[in-house]
Amino acid sequence: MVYGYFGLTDFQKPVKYIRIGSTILLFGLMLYIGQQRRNYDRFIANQFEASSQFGYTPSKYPISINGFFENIKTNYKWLSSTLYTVFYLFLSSLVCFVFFSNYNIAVQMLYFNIILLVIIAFLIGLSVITHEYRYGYSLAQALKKMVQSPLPTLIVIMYFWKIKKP
Amino acid sequence: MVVVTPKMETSKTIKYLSLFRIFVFMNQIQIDKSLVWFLAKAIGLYLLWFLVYDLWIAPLGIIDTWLNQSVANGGYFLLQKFGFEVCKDGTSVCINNASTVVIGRGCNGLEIYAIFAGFVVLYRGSWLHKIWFIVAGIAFIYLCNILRVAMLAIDHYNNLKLFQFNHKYTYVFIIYFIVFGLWILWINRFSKTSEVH
Repeated sequence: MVYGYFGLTDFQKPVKYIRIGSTILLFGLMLYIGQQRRNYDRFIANQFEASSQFGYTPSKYPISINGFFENIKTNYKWLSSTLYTVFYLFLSSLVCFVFFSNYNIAVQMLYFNIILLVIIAFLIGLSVITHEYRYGYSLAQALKKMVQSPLPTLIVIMYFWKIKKP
Repeated sequence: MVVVTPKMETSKTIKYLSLFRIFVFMNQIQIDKSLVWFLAKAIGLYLLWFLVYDLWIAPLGIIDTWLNQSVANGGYFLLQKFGFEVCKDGTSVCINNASTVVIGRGCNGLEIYAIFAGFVVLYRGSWLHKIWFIVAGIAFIYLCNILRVAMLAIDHYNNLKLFQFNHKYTYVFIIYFIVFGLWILWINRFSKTSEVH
Protein backbone atom coordinates (compact mmCIF):
# COMPACT_ATOMS: atom_id res chain seq x y z
CA MET A 1 0.00 0.00 0.00
CA VAL A 2 1.41 3.38 -1.00
CA TYR A 3 1.16 6.11 1.61
CA GLY A 4 1.11 9.80 0.77
CA TYR A 5 1.57 12.77 3.07
CA PHE A 6 0.55 12.23 6.67
CA GLY A 7 0.46 8.48 6.16
CA LEU A 8 -2.80 8.63 4.24
CA THR A 9 -3.80 6.35 1.39
CA ASP A 10 -4.96 7.82 -1.93
CA PHE A 11 -8.53 7.12 -0.86
CA GLN A 12 -8.08 9.30 2.20
CA LYS A 13 -6.37 12.19 0.36
CA PRO A 14 -9.31 14.67 0.66
CA VAL A 15 -8.79 14.48 4.43
CA LYS A 16 -5.34 15.96 3.84
CA TYR A 17 -6.81 19.18 2.47
CA ILE A 18 -9.24 19.44 5.38
CA ARG A 19 -6.28 19.10 7.75
CA ILE A 20 -4.21 21.71 5.92
CA GLY A 21 -7.19 24.09 5.88
CA SER A 22 -7.87 23.55 9.58
CA THR A 23 -4.19 24.09 10.39
CA ILE A 24 -4.13 27.38 8.47
CA LEU A 25 -7.27 28.49 10.33
CA LEU A 26 -5.79 27.53 13.70
CA PHE A 27 -2.56 29.29 12.80
CA GLY A 28 -4.60 32.40 11.99
CA LEU A 29 -6.26 32.02 15.39
CA MET A 30 -2.82 31.92 17.03
CA LEU A 31 -1.88 35.17 15.29
CA TYR A 32 -5.21 36.75 16.23
CA ILE A 33 -4.84 35.80 19.89
CA GLY A 34 -1.26 37.10 19.88
CA GLN A 35 -2.41 40.48 18.59
CA GLN A 36 -5.21 40.69 21.16
CA ARG A 37 -2.79 40.24 24.06
CA ARG A 38 -3.19 43.73 25.52
CA ASN A 39 -6.96 43.30 25.69
CA TYR A 40 -6.55 40.14 27.77
CA ASP A 41 -4.12 41.96 30.09
CA ARG A 42 -6.68 44.72 30.51
CA PHE A 43 -9.46 42.19 31.17
CA ILE A 44 -7.47 40.46 33.94
CA ALA A 45 -6.53 43.85 35.42
CA ASN A 46 -10.19 44.84 35.55
CA GLN A 47 -11.05 41.67 37.46
CA PHE A 48 -8.63 42.71 40.22
CA GLU A 49 -9.46 46.39 39.90
CA ALA A 50 -5.84 47.10 39.01
CA SER A 51 -4.78 49.79 36.58
CA SER A 52 -5.19 48.83 32.94
CA GLN A 53 -1.63 50.03 32.39
CA PHE A 54 -0.21 47.56 34.90
CA GLY A 55 3.05 45.95 34.08
CA TYR A 56 4.12 48.66 31.66
CA THR A 57 6.59 50.27 34.01
CA PRO A 58 9.05 52.93 32.87
CA SER A 59 12.01 50.66 33.62
CA LYS A 60 12.04 47.55 31.47
CA TYR A 61 13.49 45.23 34.11
CA PRO A 62 13.25 45.22 37.93
CA ILE A 63 16.29 46.81 39.52
CA SER A 64 16.19 45.02 42.86
CA ILE A 65 14.71 41.96 44.54
CA ASN A 66 12.21 44.21 46.34
CA GLY A 67 11.15 45.59 42.98
CA PHE A 68 10.69 42.03 41.75
CA PHE A 69 8.36 41.03 44.60
CA GLU A 70 6.60 44.41 44.60
CA ASN A 71 5.84 43.85 40.94
CA ILE A 72 4.23 40.48 41.72
CA LYS A 73 2.16 41.90 44.60
CA THR A 74 0.92 45.07 42.97
CA ASN A 75 0.07 44.00 39.48
CA TYR A 76 -1.41 40.97 37.84
CA LYS A 77 0.49 40.93 34.60
CA TRP A 78 2.23 37.74 35.69
CA LEU A 79 -1.20 36.07 36.05
CA SER A 80 -2.35 37.24 32.65
CA SER A 81 0.95 36.15 31.14
CA THR A 82 0.81 32.71 32.76
CA LEU A 83 -2.76 32.04 31.68
CA TYR A 84 -2.00 33.22 28.19
CA THR A 85 1.14 31.07 27.96
CA VAL A 86 -0.66 27.93 29.15
CA PHE A 87 -3.44 28.52 26.64
CA TYR A 88 -0.94 29.12 23.84
CA LEU A 89 0.94 25.98 24.81
CA PHE A 90 -2.11 23.79 24.28
CA LEU A 91 -3.12 25.66 21.14
CA SER A 92 0.25 25.01 19.52
CA SER A 93 -0.04 21.31 20.39
CA LEU A 94 -3.52 21.28 18.90
CA VAL A 95 -2.19 22.79 15.67
CA CYS A 96 0.44 20.02 15.46
CA PHE A 97 -2.17 17.37 16.22
CA VAL A 98 -4.56 18.64 13.56
CA PHE A 99 -1.83 18.86 10.95
CA PHE A 100 -0.23 15.44 11.49
CA SER A 101 -3.02 13.58 13.27
CA ASN A 102 -0.22 12.12 15.37
CA TYR A 103 -0.50 12.26 19.12
CA ASN A 104 3.22 11.75 19.61
CA ILE A 105 4.12 14.95 17.74
CA ALA A 106 1.53 16.99 19.64
CA VAL A 107 2.95 15.78 22.95
CA GLN A 108 6.49 16.53 21.78
CA MET A 109 5.38 20.07 20.96
CA LEU A 110 3.97 20.32 24.49
CA TYR A 111 7.24 19.01 25.97
CA PHE A 112 9.24 21.48 23.94
CA ASN A 113 7.17 24.40 25.22
CA ILE A 114 7.39 23.12 28.81
CA ILE A 115 11.19 22.87 28.50
CA LEU A 116 11.22 26.49 27.32
CA LEU A 117 9.13 27.49 30.35
CA VAL A 118 11.55 25.67 32.67
CA ILE A 119 14.48 27.53 31.08
CA ILE A 120 12.60 30.83 31.56
CA ALA A 121 11.97 30.04 35.24
CA PHE A 122 15.63 29.04 35.64
CA LEU A 123 16.84 32.30 34.09
CA ILE A 124 14.54 34.39 36.28
CA GLY A 125 15.64 32.46 39.37
CA LEU A 126 19.27 32.89 38.41
CA SER A 127 18.85 36.62 37.91
CA VAL A 128 17.10 36.97 41.28
CA ILE A 129 19.83 34.97 43.06
CA THR A 130 22.73 36.76 41.41
CA HIS A 131 21.02 40.20 41.47
CA GLU A 132 21.89 40.47 37.81
CA TYR A 133 18.47 41.48 36.56
CA ARG A 134 19.45 43.01 33.27
CA TYR A 135 20.73 39.94 31.34
CA GLY A 136 18.69 37.26 33.08
CA TYR A 137 15.49 39.13 32.43
CA SER A 138 16.28 40.12 28.89
CA LEU A 139 17.00 36.47 27.99
CA ALA A 140 13.88 35.31 29.83
CA GLN A 141 11.85 37.95 27.98
CA ALA A 142 13.29 36.78 24.66
CA LEU A 143 12.31 33.17 25.38
CA LYS A 144 8.88 34.24 26.62
CA LYS A 145 8.37 36.13 23.40
CA MET A 146 9.31 32.96 21.52
CA VAL A 147 6.88 30.77 23.51
CA GLN A 148 4.09 33.31 22.96
CA SER A 149 4.59 33.37 19.19
CA PRO A 150 3.64 30.84 16.50
CA LEU A 151 7.32 30.42 15.56
CA PRO A 152 8.08 27.21 17.54
CA THR A 153 4.93 25.61 16.11
CA LEU A 154 6.04 26.56 12.61
CA ILE A 155 9.50 25.08 13.16
CA VAL A 156 8.14 21.82 14.63
CA ILE A 157 5.59 21.47 11.80
CA MET A 158 8.30 22.01 9.24
CA TYR A 159 10.64 19.58 10.97
CA PHE A 160 8.16 16.69 10.94
CA TRP A 161 6.64 17.56 7.59
CA LYS A 162 9.73 18.06 5.50
CA ILE A 163 12.81 17.00 7.43
CA LYS A 164 11.78 13.91 9.33
CA LYS A 165 8.42 12.51 8.34
CA PRO A 166 6.62 10.69 11.16
CA MET B 1 -9.12 -18.73 60.87
CA VAL B 2 -9.87 -15.30 59.52
CA VAL B 3 -7.08 -13.52 57.68
CA VAL B 4 -7.34 -9.76 57.91
CA THR B 5 -5.80 -8.03 54.94
CA PRO B 6 -5.13 -4.29 54.94
CA LYS B 7 -7.80 -2.64 52.86
CA MET B 8 -6.95 0.28 50.66
CA GLU B 9 -9.61 2.91 50.22
CA THR B 10 -11.30 2.76 46.84
CA SER B 11 -10.59 6.39 45.98
CA LYS B 12 -6.89 5.90 46.72
CA THR B 13 -6.76 2.79 44.55
CA ILE B 14 -8.28 4.69 41.63
CA LYS B 15 -5.81 7.51 42.19
CA TYR B 16 -2.80 5.18 42.11
CA LEU B 17 -4.15 3.32 39.10
CA SER B 18 -4.65 6.51 37.12
CA LEU B 19 -1.16 7.69 38.09
CA PHE B 20 0.22 4.37 36.88
CA ARG B 21 -1.66 4.75 33.60
CA ILE B 22 -0.19 8.19 33.06
CA PHE B 23 3.28 6.77 33.73
CA VAL B 24 2.77 3.95 31.23
CA PHE B 25 1.41 6.40 28.67
CA MET B 26 4.39 8.73 29.08
CA ASN B 27 6.70 5.79 28.40
CA GLN B 28 4.96 5.15 25.09
CA ILE B 29 5.78 8.60 23.77
CA GLN B 30 8.99 8.65 21.80
CA ILE B 31 10.99 11.82 22.03
CA ASP B 32 12.86 12.46 18.84
CA LYS B 33 16.48 13.09 19.81
CA SER B 34 17.38 14.76 16.54
CA LEU B 35 14.42 17.15 17.03
CA VAL B 36 15.64 18.01 20.53
CA TRP B 37 19.13 18.72 19.18
CA PHE B 38 17.72 20.77 16.31
CA LEU B 39 15.51 22.83 18.63
CA ALA B 40 18.32 23.30 21.16
CA LYS B 41 20.49 24.75 18.41
CA ALA B 42 17.59 26.96 17.25
CA ILE B 43 17.00 28.29 20.78
CA GLY B 44 20.74 28.88 21.28
CA LEU B 45 21.00 30.82 18.04
CA TYR B 46 17.86 32.80 18.87
CA LEU B 47 19.23 33.79 22.29
CA LEU B 48 22.60 34.69 20.75
CA TRP B 49 20.86 36.91 18.21
CA PHE B 50 18.77 38.51 20.94
CA LEU B 51 21.84 39.26 23.07
CA VAL B 52 23.78 40.67 20.13
CA TYR B 53 20.79 42.77 19.11
CA ASP B 54 19.96 43.96 22.63
CA LEU B 55 23.55 44.73 23.62
CA TRP B 56 25.09 46.14 20.46
CA ILE B 57 22.79 46.57 17.48
CA ALA B 58 19.83 48.29 19.20
CA PRO B 59 21.87 50.76 21.32
CA LEU B 60 23.95 51.80 18.30
CA GLY B 61 20.83 52.08 16.19
CA ILE B 62 22.78 52.31 12.94
CA ILE B 63 21.26 49.25 11.25
CA ASP B 64 17.73 50.04 12.44
CA THR B 65 17.93 53.67 11.31
CA TRP B 66 19.35 52.69 7.93
CA LEU B 67 16.73 49.97 7.42
CA ASN B 68 13.86 52.26 8.47
CA GLN B 69 15.03 54.91 6.01
CA SER B 70 15.58 52.36 3.29
CA VAL B 71 12.14 50.74 3.66
CA ALA B 72 10.48 54.18 3.80
CA ASN B 73 12.34 55.19 0.63
CA GLY B 74 11.28 51.97 -1.06
CA GLY B 75 7.64 52.49 -0.09
CA TYR B 76 7.81 56.09 -1.30
CA PHE B 77 9.32 55.02 -4.63
CA LEU B 78 6.75 52.26 -5.14
CA LEU B 79 3.81 54.55 -4.35
CA GLN B 80 5.21 57.12 -6.77
CA LYS B 81 5.34 54.42 -9.47
CA PHE B 82 1.71 53.52 -8.69
CA GLY B 83 0.84 57.14 -9.54
CA PHE B 84 0.17 58.51 -6.05
CA GLU B 85 1.05 62.02 -4.95
CA VAL B 86 3.47 61.13 -2.19
CA CYS B 87 5.82 62.96 0.15
CA LYS B 88 8.30 61.74 2.75
CA ASP B 89 9.42 63.15 6.07
CA GLY B 90 12.15 61.07 7.66
CA THR B 91 10.69 57.57 7.94
CA SER B 92 7.13 58.79 7.52
CA VAL B 93 5.37 58.40 4.16
CA CYS B 94 2.36 60.53 3.25
CA ILE B 95 -0.16 60.46 0.43
CA ASN B 96 -1.69 63.76 -0.73
CA ASN B 97 -0.07 65.51 2.27
CA ALA B 98 -1.86 63.16 4.70
CA SER B 99 0.52 61.21 6.92
CA THR B 100 -0.02 57.46 6.47
CA VAL B 101 2.73 55.17 7.79
CA VAL B 102 5.83 55.66 9.94
CA ILE B 103 8.47 52.94 9.75
CA GLY B 104 9.61 51.97 13.23
CA ARG B 105 11.91 49.33 14.66
CA GLY B 106 9.29 46.59 14.54
CA CYS B 107 8.39 47.31 10.92
CA ASN B 108 11.79 47.17 9.28
CA GLY B 109 11.87 43.36 9.21
CA LEU B 110 15.28 42.92 10.86
CA GLU B 111 13.99 40.22 13.21
CA ILE B 112 12.40 38.30 10.34
CA TYR B 113 15.71 38.37 8.43
CA ALA B 114 17.47 36.96 11.50
CA ILE B 115 14.89 34.18 11.98
CA PHE B 116 14.99 33.24 8.31
CA ALA B 117 18.79 33.25 8.14
CA GLY B 118 19.10 31.40 11.45
CA PHE B 119 17.16 28.40 10.17
CA VAL B 120 19.14 28.18 6.93
CA VAL B 121 22.40 28.37 8.90
CA LEU B 122 21.22 25.57 11.22
CA TYR B 123 20.04 23.24 8.49
CA ARG B 124 22.37 21.07 6.47
CA GLY B 125 23.73 22.25 3.13
CA SER B 126 26.89 23.67 1.62
CA TRP B 127 27.96 27.05 2.96
CA LEU B 128 28.27 28.50 -0.52
CA HIS B 129 24.61 27.69 -1.20
CA LYS B 130 23.64 28.93 2.25
CA ILE B 131 25.25 32.33 1.71
CA TRP B 132 23.61 33.06 -1.62
CA PHE B 133 20.27 31.67 -0.44
CA ILE B 134 20.32 33.84 2.69
CA VAL B 135 21.20 36.95 0.67
CA ALA B 136 18.53 36.20 -1.94
CA GLY B 137 15.95 35.33 0.74
CA ILE B 138 16.61 38.52 2.72
CA ALA B 139 16.38 40.56 -0.50
CA PHE B 140 13.05 38.89 -1.29
CA ILE B 141 11.66 39.51 2.22
CA TYR B 142 12.92 43.10 1.99
CA LEU B 143 11.03 43.64 -1.28
CA CYS B 144 7.91 42.06 0.22
CA ASN B 145 8.23 44.39 3.20
CA ILE B 146 8.43 47.42 0.90
CA LEU B 147 5.32 46.21 -0.92
CA ARG B 148 3.63 45.75 2.48
CA VAL B 149 4.51 49.32 3.50
CA ALA B 150 3.13 50.70 0.25
CA MET B 151 -0.08 48.68 0.61
CA LEU B 152 -0.46 49.78 4.23
CA ALA B 153 -0.03 53.42 3.23
CA ILE B 154 -2.79 53.01 0.64
CA ASP B 155 -4.98 51.24 3.23
CA HIS B 156 -4.39 54.03 5.74
CA TYR B 157 -5.25 56.68 3.18
CA ASN B 158 -8.48 54.95 2.09
CA ASN B 159 -9.78 53.07 5.09
CA LEU B 160 -8.33 53.27 8.60
CA LYS B 161 -10.12 50.15 9.84
CA LEU B 162 -8.81 48.12 6.93
CA PHE B 163 -5.32 49.44 7.69
CA GLN B 164 -5.56 48.34 11.32
CA PHE B 165 -6.79 44.87 10.37
CA ASN B 166 -4.21 44.34 7.64
CA HIS B 167 -1.38 45.71 9.77
CA LYS B 168 -2.22 43.43 12.68
CA TYR B 169 -3.27 40.25 10.94
CA THR B 170 -3.16 39.94 7.15
CA TYR B 171 0.42 41.04 6.50
CA VAL B 172 1.78 39.28 9.58
CA PHE B 173 0.22 36.06 8.30
CA ILE B 174 1.61 36.65 4.80
CA ILE B 175 5.13 37.33 6.12
CA TYR B 176 5.05 34.09 8.16
CA PHE B 177 3.82 32.27 5.08
CA ILE B 178 6.65 33.71 2.97
CA VAL B 179 9.33 32.74 5.49
CA PHE B 180 7.83 29.25 5.80
CA GLY B 181 7.79 28.94 2.01
CA LEU B 182 11.43 29.98 1.76
CA TRP B 183 12.41 27.39 4.37
CA ILE B 184 10.54 24.69 2.46
CA LEU B 185 12.27 25.81 -0.73
CA TRP B 186 15.63 25.52 1.00
CA ILE B 187 14.91 22.03 2.31
CA ASN B 188 13.42 20.67 -0.92
CA ARG B 189 15.56 22.28 -3.57
CA PHE B 190 18.86 23.58 -2.29
CA SER B 191 19.96 21.73 0.81
CA LYS B 192 19.69 18.30 -0.89
CA THR B 193 18.83 16.63 2.38
CA SER B 194 15.10 16.40 2.11
CA GLU B 195 15.03 12.60 1.75
CA VAL B 196 13.35 10.57 4.47
CA HIS B 197 15.92 9.45 7.07
